[in-house]
Amino acid sequence: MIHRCTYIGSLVVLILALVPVTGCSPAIAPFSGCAYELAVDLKVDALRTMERAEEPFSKHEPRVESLQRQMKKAVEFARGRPNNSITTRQWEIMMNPEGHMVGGFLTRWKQDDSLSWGFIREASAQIEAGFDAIIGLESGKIGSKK
Amino acid sequence: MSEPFVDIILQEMRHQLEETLPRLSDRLLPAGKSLLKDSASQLETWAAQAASGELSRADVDWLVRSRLDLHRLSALRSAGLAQVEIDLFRQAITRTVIGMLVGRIAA
Repeated sequence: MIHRCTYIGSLVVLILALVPVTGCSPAIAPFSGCAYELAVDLKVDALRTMERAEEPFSKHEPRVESLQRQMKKAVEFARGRPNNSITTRQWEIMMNPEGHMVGGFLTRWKQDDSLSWGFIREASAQIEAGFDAIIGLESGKIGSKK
Repeated sequence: MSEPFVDIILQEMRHQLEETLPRLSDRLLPAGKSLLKDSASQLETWAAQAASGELSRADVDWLVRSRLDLHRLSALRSAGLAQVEIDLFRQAITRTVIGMLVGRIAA
């Protein structure tokens, strides 16, 4: 009996020693269906909005403002999830008005009033790939039905 | 401490690492490599479009900077997927240790 108790005690010590390896808190947030859907919807909305950038910005201002609101929600949603700093950083890059993804594109559209089709096409391809990086990370998280 | 028990745990960790590390490189390296390759040809395309007047210098400048942002997003995806693999590794080890502990206590 004493031998058995010592043995179990040793196992507990071993488990405690393994805590740094097996620690309870995950390194990254699990998959969220809501975050995934939000990213896919925003990708579609953003690319559709950008297609209109050959026309004057003022004509599409309400649509742009709606898109910016949705993106702010996505950042706040990402920020509110534990262990989700990488996805949050991705959204911050995507919507940064001084950057060169969706946020920066909308800033440039507003400044120049309209943009050339060649630029819209090339920028859209970049931004689409950027959204794919966000969606790819979410769908790669534990719990997604890959 | 029972040495076979420790050996089994270490063996399981080695086995999990052998499975995790190749999967990690399979998931991470091709994406980064293809983006870098694409970037070189993309720059040539933009230079040609600028020469033909389809893009302005300001357009090309913006697009090059957007390429850098895209690399940052892609690198963050890789970092996140690496963390997913670490979590999977930790889960596998936890399952093994708990399974062995329960088995030994029940025996």
